[in-house]
Amino acid sequence: MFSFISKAGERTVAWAKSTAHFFAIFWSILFLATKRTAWPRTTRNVFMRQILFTGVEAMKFVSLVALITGLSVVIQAQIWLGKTGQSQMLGTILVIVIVRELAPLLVNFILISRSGTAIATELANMKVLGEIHLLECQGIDPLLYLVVPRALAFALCVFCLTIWFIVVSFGGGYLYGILAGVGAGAPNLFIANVLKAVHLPDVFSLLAKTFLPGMFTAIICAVEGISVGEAITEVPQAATRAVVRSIAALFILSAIVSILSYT
Amino acid sequence: MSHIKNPCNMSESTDILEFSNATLPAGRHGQTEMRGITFALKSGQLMLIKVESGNEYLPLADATEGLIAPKSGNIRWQGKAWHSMTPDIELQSRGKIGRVFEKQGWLSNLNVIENVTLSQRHHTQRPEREIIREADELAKYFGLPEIPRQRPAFVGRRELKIAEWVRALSGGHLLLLLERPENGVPDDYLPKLIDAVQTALKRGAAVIWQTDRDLAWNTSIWPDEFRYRMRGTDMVKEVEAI
Repeated sequence: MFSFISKAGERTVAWAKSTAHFFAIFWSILFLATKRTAWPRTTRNVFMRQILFTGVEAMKFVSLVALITGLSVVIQAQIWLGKTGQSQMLGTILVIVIVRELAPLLVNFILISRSGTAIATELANMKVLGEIHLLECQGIDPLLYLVVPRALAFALCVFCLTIWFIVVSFGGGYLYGILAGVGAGAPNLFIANVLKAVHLPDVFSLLAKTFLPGMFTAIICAVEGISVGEAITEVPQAATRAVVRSIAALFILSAIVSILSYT
Repeated sequence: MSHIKNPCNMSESTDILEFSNATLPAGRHGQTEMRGITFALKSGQLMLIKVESGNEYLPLADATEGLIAPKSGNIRWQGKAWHSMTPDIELQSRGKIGRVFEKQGWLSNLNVIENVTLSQRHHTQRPEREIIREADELAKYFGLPEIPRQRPAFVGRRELKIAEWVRALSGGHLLLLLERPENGVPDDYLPKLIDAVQTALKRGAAVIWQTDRDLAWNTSIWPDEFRYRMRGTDMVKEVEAI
């Protein structure tokens, strides 16, 4: 019994420490990001590369997923609302399903599996190969050079790709609806219908569900990557931990933001 | 050797680095512990250390850069203990040190020229074109057409080592830490490295050169030089500074 309590206590303390460590890094990044001296050309370069890898190169896949999601959701909504005579609810339903929940969730998922694992693996390999040490030897702060630009670029990419996801899914769904003969009227009416359904909490929710999980994912993946020891076998373990923790953080944050936005 | 930038405006008598009875722990990758290390290195002075076969890896360079704290004793960089500096000053100070690494010297996700110029692009406002030109001129001096533009994984060992020399020697560092820089390079290249190091010394840089090669050890590189030989964990002085 005593052993069980002791283990539970140890785990709780370890969890509290790692959470405190995570938030210390989170606030450090926010603080550093506002300092002009924290953005030498090398850091800006890493930021731009991360935008390229996480944002630009993911666009094709995000577009594909958005298109398929749009086809499914928009068509279903158009058909069933048409049958129940509630076609005027289309905008509201789409905003609730896609803008509030699906788009940020799916984009975060895609980027966790695509770029989050890449960040964790890359930084873990750098640690094992002594490249983090090499940066320190040259007077380059690994947090500033490796984590800050990745976290900010990741968050920005999640936001931009979510907007792109919404546009593609709505556009694709609408076009397919017209082709299938279940259209929602003229395009301007469809757009007006959707825009009318967007309220201030939706904007807040979209911002919070993209920037926050995006930053959390990048930080979790970076921290997990950098925390490996000197064995190459620790790299896949770090990547797995990073993905699991990022997904957990994503769901927790999404739930918290939904509760704060809509209750 | 006009390619090496004037490193500093240090007065001749300023101590760049001072070890006072420092004991250094073994550190990473099978490094040898070092005990009772005492020396002071001024601007324009060279310290040559002959390492023992089987005990080539020393924690001296990491300790010099404040990345390993001594078990006992003190290490001072420009008169200040590393632990007494603010993080920003620590980073800036490390930016003034050029190093040829014993082991890993490259970031694998940058190409070689980006690696060579990284520290200067990070710490200085020098135009990128000027930094690259200086590096390429030094590479030509050492016999390479230019610094390779590929990732380090696709570049030969000799070219990489010479690129490491270029990285350490360009940008006018206050201190050069050369950890067996002749490894992986034929002896024919060594006179040019010695010449480049002499030019750096002449302009005011201090140099710590660890070697296991007789060619470097038997060459009188600089009038103001100290020679030490590693014996187990002790660093034994061989010749007094002139």
